[in-house]
Amino acid sequence: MIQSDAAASRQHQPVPVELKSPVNHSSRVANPLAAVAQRAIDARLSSGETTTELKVRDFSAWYGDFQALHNLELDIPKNRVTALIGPSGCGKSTFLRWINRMNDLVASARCSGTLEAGGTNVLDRALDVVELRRRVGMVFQKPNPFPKSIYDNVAFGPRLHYRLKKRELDALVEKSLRDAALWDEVKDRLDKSALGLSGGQQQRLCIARTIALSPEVLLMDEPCSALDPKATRRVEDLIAELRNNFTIIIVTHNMQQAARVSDVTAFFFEGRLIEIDETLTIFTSPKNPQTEEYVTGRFG
Amino acid sequence: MTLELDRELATLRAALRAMAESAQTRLATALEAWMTWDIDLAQSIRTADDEIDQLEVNIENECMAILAKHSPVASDLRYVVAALRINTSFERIADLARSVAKRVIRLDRDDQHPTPPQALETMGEAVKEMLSNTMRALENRDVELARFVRKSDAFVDDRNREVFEWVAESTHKEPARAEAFISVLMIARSLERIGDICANIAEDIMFAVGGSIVRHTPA
Ligand SMILES: Nc1ncnc2c1ncn2[C@@H]1O[C@H](COP(=O)(O)OP(=O)(O)O)[C@@H](O)[C@H]1O
Ligand SMILES: [Mg+2]
Repeated sequence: MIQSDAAASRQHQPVPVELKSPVNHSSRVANPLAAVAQRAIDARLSSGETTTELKVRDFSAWYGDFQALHNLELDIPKNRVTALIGPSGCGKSTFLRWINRMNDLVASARCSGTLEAGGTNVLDRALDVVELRRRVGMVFQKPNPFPKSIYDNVAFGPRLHYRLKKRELDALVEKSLRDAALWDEVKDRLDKSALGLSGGQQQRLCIARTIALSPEVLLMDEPCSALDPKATRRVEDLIAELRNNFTIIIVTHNMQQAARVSDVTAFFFEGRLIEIDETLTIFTSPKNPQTEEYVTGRFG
Repeated sequence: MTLELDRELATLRAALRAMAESAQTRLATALEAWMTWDIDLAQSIRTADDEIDQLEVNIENECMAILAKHSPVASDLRYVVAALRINTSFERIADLARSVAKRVIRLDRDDQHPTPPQALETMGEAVKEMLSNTMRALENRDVELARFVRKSDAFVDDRNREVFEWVAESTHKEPARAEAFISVLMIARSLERIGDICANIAEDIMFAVGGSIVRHTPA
């Protein structure tokens, strides 16, 4: 359990998040809630070693003269859910948008440092960003299905990236919709417009559309903030299902959601990474007083 | 910024303080009854204790309401979890004080007024001191004082052992009064357990304030 702080950032130290706590000989023993939950986490993680999906070193980002991110140092573990929390404007979306180079579309945006996804230098000018965005998919706050049929929404990406026979495409669409926990609700209306779906269904469709391309990373920027509690719960359940096969990075303003869905939580404040640790630690015994203030709602 | 949660936590703190004070009063009363053979005093805390029971239930409900309504995290969560444990601890202290009072009444009824060893008197004073330090540590979130409470437990344990030796020796000398001596031993045992419970509360305070678990580590 290691936290990142300003000092660590300055030294450009990698910030490993040890998900599987080894036997802890230090005086700081996990708290009782943590102990119970730790067993669950250990069970969940024992299936495989944790490896790093996203390596971030001395990463800074600007919009013109304004520095939005300062010397980020962190590792995001593969096939885990990492939650990014922090007050509005602290740079969470900026960070996400650099991971799949969405910021290429913002003229004033530039950055420095290292950002590697699965060993690939994301910031490489020569990188094929279309391929990058297949590997690093994004789900937005407001569900944004294309004004096409449900089927075509999911088939759109695969048609662009792969040459598939009709039968193969059908199978891929079905699998993606199943994986997004939407199949049963839409299987009889695949040719109907996606815009006729409820908000929660649209969001799951957007997730289906993204996972149809077999990405390694799923970026989710407040994916539930436009959804009602029931639809939110379904998306959260879906995240729990997907966590084994995808590296998920989710921005959320809902502390309980971060606590429920994520394995690792990173707290950002004013463009800096203040603390990153196991989610349970962040919500039971955060080390940094600013994190404590933020998660307990006493901020500001 | 005043949060609804802060208001409810303040209410919880006050209720826990009231609980602690009730337990403290009972301990002091039981010890005084024992030292002075004041049977009326002993009777006053003998009967089942509605006030403490009610407080205990209220505090538990308060904790559950806070958990359900606010889903507290970090230090708030730790405080509520600790409060649930501390609540039970104070209730047990009050119980033990009552069993001391019952012993006093029984001894008096059997016309037995053994002169207790000095160690037992010292023990009573030490346990009272531990309890008041515990309450102060809780009130002021004083981890150092909590640590000290934890350490004080060994002193009480040592006196308990002396009482045991005294009882063994006295019983050997005057076997006819064995029952009375055993009552002395039981009183010491109650006090020793109150010391243990204070140490437990101290550990809960350390957890609530600092987030670390010291429960299964040496003092
Ligand atoms: N396109 C942009 N041009 C200029 N400034 C921007 C742009 N996007 C975001 N910012 C600024 O960068 C900072 C971080 O924004 P953002 O990453 O959206 O924060 P968050 O997602 O944490 O709310 C904010 O101060 C915001 O005003
Ligand atoms: Mg944002």
